[in-house]
Amino acid sequence: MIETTVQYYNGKFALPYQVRIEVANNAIHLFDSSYNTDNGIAFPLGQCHYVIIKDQAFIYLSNTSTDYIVVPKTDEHYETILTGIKRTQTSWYHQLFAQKWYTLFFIVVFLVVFLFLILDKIVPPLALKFISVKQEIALGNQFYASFTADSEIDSSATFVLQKFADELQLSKTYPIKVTVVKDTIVNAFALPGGHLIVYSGIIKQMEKPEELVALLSHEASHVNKRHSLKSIVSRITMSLAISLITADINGLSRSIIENVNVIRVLSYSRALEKEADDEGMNLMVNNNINPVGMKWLMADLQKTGNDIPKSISFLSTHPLTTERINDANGFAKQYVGMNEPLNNQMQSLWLELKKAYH
Amino acid sequence: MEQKNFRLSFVGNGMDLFKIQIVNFILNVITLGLYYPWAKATKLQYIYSNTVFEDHPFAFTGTGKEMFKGFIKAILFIVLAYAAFFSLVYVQMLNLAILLLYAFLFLMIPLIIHGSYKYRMAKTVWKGIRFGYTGNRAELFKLYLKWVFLTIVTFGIYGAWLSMNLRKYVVERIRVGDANFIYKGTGDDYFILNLKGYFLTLITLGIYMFWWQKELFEYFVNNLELNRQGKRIYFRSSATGGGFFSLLIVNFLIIVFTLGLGFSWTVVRTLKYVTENIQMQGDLLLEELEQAQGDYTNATGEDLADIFDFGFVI
Repeated sequence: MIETTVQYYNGKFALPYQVRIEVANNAIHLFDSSYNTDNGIAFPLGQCHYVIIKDQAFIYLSNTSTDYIVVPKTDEHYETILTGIKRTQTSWYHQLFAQKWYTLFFIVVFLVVFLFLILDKIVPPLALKFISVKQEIALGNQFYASFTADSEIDSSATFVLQKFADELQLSKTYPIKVTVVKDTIVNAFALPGGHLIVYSGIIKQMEKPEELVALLSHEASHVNKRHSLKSIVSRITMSLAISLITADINGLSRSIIENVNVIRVLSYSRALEKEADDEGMNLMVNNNINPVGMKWLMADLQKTGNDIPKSISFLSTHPLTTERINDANGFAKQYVGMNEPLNNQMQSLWLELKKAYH
Repeated sequence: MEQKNFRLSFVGNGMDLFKIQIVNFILNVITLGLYYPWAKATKLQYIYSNTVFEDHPFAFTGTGKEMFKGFIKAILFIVLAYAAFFSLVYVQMLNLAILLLYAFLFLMIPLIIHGSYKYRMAKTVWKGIRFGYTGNRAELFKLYLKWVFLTIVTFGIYGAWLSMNLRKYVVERIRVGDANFIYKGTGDDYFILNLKGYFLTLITLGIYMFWWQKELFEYFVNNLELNRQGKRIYFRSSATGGGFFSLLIVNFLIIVFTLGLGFSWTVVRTLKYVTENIQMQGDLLLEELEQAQGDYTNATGEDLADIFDFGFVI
């Protein structure tokens, strides 16, 4: 058995004692003049940890880190002690830390992709299953209340537009309630559960009643497909996940991740717009109205869109891409022969609306 | 009495710290964030054990388990506070709710300072000797209320005195074994220092900011002493405005050009700069230090400080 002499700090005073050490049976044995036993005092390697500073290892003998020995690299026990301690470090942290850089890089990429897929593709549909139509309508009503608190509602136009919408079969599940808000914004949107908000600005831009049907069908499709609820759930799960896993990361990396998420949300919402176009046109066909109205609506909005500051326009967040217009065009072509005019009631309601916003 | 110089340095490197952050990130994701307290413990352990004073490293002896318990308590606490807030909002008492929430957050500050110092100091060890914080929670709370009241009635002017009084209170209750710190900074000097810094920064379009930073650092360090039975260690800053300038500008560039991934290197650069620029001299015999502070394992204050994003040094 080899014995060497090292410095020992006992956790009571800040001055060293000379002790002799031996390593045996996975333990460091300390022999001090005050310990008069044959085996010294044994410190199992499993409860020790170490730090290397320059050419010395500071071997802490317990997890309180108050008692330790200083073993120089030249000491005969140096390697034995360090490898012995390393062997007892089996936590996930230590195992990961022992991996090569490319392994860690691979794990990070894998986890990020995996987490993204789960949160983006699996959690929102699952969450949607747990939210009933009734709860969704109640949620929509709350949003509606807070939204209308600071917007100017045109109640007579709302009344007319509601009657117009009631002539159509827009939803089997949700009560469709329209609201006209006096504002030059060329936009319309759907809240969860059936509220459609239509700005007077967009009514002004339309030239034919079929376009209004197209707009209502498009927005009603958002409601039927639970799009706003989906976006809300997806946004909440994502931001929760981001704040959880970036808890330990500095501000800048976090803001980069968050901005990437904004882009994701935008492209997600574009996919939803596309779906609402398609479903909206199906709704029009089901209502015996020529889906060409969708194409007319897009053409009108695009034509006049130039007068409107881009930042406030419906077109800036959901640009009328050539792709969207081509899709609408292609869809409408299948129904060229369809020539059912709108019923008289709808025609006169349309004229009434246009009279208000000429 | 013989005067001696003391050596302080940070010997860690960015690569090691980065690897720790990567491993922590992986474990955080796998555990959906619950690993956070352990991640924090490993990071602090690395930073402490690479800070070397008189050839011996510091040790952070806090554990993930302790901080996890504190983390859970802190979260419960916050959840209860917000539940109370939203129930008031629900019964249409929004203004009262906001007022109470602000009052609550503000009253929490001295309690968080107390709790986090108590834990952090008890977990700081050098040469086997524990640090300790001996402040009294109720006393700090009352003093804090008084200082804040004075700050409000003086329209914020008393803020400089608040900062220095608070720093003095906390620093002078930090022990290293049977030695204690002394802090000699006062509100008057601090007020003038900040007034000068503020105006010169405005006049020089922000460039003076680095020299202001240097003076704040210097004011903290130069007013610090460690005392044991009348024998002292005096602290002196050797930092310069130019030094702070290159430290902060390069750190900024590292962060920007690595998209934040180089954060670890900026931490290391900062710690190296700070430790290299604290000079110490005195007749205190460190070999005579004795263990005098007990252990303390409640990390709730430490975790609350984290949640509210408090910087540690005041």
